[in-house]
Amino acid sequence: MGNELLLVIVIGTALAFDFTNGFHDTANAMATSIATRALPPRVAVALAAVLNVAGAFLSLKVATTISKDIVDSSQISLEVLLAALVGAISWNLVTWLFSLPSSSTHALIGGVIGAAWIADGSGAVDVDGVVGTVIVPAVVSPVIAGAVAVLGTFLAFKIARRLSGGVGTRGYRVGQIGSASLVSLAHGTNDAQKTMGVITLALVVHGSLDKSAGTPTWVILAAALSIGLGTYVGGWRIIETMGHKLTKIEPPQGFAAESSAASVLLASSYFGYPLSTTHIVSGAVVGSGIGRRLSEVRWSLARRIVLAWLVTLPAAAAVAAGVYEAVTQLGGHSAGPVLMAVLALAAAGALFRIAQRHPVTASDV
Amino acid sequence: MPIAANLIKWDALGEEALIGLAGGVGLVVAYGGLLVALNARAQARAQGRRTAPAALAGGLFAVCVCVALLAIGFVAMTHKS
Repeated sequence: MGNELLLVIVIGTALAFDFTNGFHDTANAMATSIATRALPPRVAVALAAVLNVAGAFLSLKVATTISKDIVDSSQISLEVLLAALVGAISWNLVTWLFSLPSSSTHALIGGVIGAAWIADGSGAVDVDGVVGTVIVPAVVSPVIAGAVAVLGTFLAFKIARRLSGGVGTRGYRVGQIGSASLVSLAHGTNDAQKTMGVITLALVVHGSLDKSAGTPTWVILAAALSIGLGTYVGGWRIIETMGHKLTKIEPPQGFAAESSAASVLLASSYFGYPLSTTHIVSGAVVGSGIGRRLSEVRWSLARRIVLAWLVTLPAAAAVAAGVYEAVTQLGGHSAGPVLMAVLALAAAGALFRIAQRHPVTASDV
Repeated sequence: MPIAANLIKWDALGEEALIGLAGGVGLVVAYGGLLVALNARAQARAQGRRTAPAALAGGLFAVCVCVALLAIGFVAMTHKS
């Protein structure tokens, strides 16, 4: 019975992570379109939500990779999964509170590393794999996206000078809707599936699903709807940072930034790197500021964002390690997970209340 | 450096950079070409002239490139390695 309860708590926590992933990452696709008034804020987040849900159904490759290829289900426990998810959610909420775009993917990877390390020792973590497939791409991807966006923005403004005002502004706004939609769809094919993979893995670990079985339909539906709902809620704080605070965005710039991000995102995805949409889009937005004029970028904010990226993995790992320790000390199959779930909910509620002291809504972006 | 070479798939990263550059800049240039063609059409209409065949052909070519790039993006999305 205890194991069933733990499974339910892990699934609920995974869906909560998916929800935070959605509202944390709405900015990736839509911040520039909202900033240039290509789309009204509410319409933009609704479009992103629909495309995220659609993207979740396009491919199951990421879900399969997570549930079968990355972690050996015989070496992982439901307690480790729960701790990893709580670690990732915590970091998502803290960075949201500080209006900083950071990677939900890296938070989840950090959570898994922290919990697995405490559970099975340092041997449970493949350090070479983490460096080669997570840390290096995390450093390189935003630089590539930024470089592409610098050139793209420079060319977009060159072309825009040849256009009459109406055609240029309207045309680039329409283009932005297309490129932002592509980023939203790509986000759905990646991020919703991470949760599907985690839930599928939990079902396999629990023994209610055969290891060779595919992702159940209800899991696909639940994960798709959860990320869609999170996206629709709209992480207005991060949208404000990406769309207004980091650099001032004009329609040609927004189009160049989203096109560059979509292109690098899809290339990374094709080559199988566990990419971070947030890193790539942030790199592209900074690049679009440089491409227009170097001074347009608020470097102090960019430095804070990069600092948050550097801290993501160890911070999520540390929280997950603490949660794992607490869950097992309190009683792994029953009291521990229940108490931890209640504590996590209370902490999330407290963060929301703190955020309400300086609320950012659709009307602020 | 040999350790880095073992850990990191530099070839794949290089390819990612090149494809990202070609796709991102290609889309900006192709879409820009389409807007230039639309602009030429709007100006010609305003002056009561017909649109120059070169502008029409350029616009059509730009549309084809944009659609091709979007299709490649969609394939990359659904066929992850």
